[in-house]
Amino acid sequence: MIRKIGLFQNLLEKYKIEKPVSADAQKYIFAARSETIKSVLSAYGEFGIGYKMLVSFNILTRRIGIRTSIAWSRFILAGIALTMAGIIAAGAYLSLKHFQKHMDRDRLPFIQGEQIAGAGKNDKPDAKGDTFKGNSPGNESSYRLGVERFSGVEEKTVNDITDKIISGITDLLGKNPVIDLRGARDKNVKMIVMGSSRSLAGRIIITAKLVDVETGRILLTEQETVDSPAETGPACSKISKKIVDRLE
Amino acid sequence: MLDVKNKKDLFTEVYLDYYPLVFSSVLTKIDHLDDARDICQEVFMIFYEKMNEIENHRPWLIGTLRNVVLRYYQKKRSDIDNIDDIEFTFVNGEREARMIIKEAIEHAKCDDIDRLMLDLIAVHKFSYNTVAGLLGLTRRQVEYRYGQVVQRILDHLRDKGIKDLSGLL
Repeated sequence: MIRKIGLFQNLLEKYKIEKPVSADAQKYIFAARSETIKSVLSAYGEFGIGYKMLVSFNILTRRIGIRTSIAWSRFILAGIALTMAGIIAAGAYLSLKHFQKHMDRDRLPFIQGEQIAGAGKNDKPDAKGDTFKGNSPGNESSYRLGVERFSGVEEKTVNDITDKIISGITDLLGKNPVIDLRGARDKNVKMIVMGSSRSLAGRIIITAKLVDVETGRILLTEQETVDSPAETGPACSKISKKIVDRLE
Repeated sequence: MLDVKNKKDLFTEVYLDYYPLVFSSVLTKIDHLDDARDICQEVFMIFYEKMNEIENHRPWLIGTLRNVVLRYYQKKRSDIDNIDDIEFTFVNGEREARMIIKEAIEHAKCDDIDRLMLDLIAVHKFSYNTVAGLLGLTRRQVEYRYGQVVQRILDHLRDKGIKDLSGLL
């Protein structure tokens, strides 16, 4: 086939049927094509910004080897525009939700500065002598406290102990002072109470830790041992008291 | 009768397809890029106005561009009344051979795109890649379709009794 094409080209050359256009002129034609249509259609008032985009899109698709009609280009372009609008709208919606979530988080129950005896003393040294780098005194977010589900084998006992710890802290600090993190969606807290309940030789060992989420440092570790599940109440109260004392 | 939107769409499609051919044809006649561009613009403006009456775009565009180019020359030199006198430069049967080849090209079974490819590649020496980018085809498609068109032209010549092309060369 290449030979036949070569012969054919020779024929056109010999009989001067071919009229070559230089490579530079071809480039000029390529560029002038977009400009001239603008001039022609503008002369009839038919070349707005939308149509310019449509023509540009059609030229672009041609360049990458896709031949589409103007109607199809319009359809595809509308689809792209709708998709982009959808993405922008979804982005705006998600941003708004994110923003709202932050606003809500600020409105979630805190351990109020006034409710804690000695609020504003949160910069006192911890057990290691370091200064607890909380926010400024009275800034509620310094005390945002969550209680994780205690670990342990017996589901009932574990939940019972977790409930008692939450209620113990609540009793000491006032209304809505802690966030129950069991199944909570918002886990963005400054400090977490976590722990375990273990049975050993017929006794129950309750261990609780107060952890600074940001640094991962354990601020307090408390352990109580009881002989039966009925005695977990007072033990949890003791632990809650220690936690609250530590917060102060 | 086309409504404005359809008319504009159809115009744009025809324009994008035929602009390189019209421009190249004008350029081979006047050899001046800016003037060729102006003439092209004029041709397509007339085309836009008369679109509803035109059935076959290619011959109409070629005919109109000849008239516009002639007017262009007449403005420059009043003694010109024909711009395509190349036929008369051939003598001793060569003019006949040229007519046969041109007739074979005209009568090869080509759709509009094939014909455009033939004009751009064979006559105006555009590369396959450039034609692909202009017409919205891949290079392979252009190469394949062009080969098919050439084959049909050669078949037509064979039907006319020209068994060996080298005899014409």
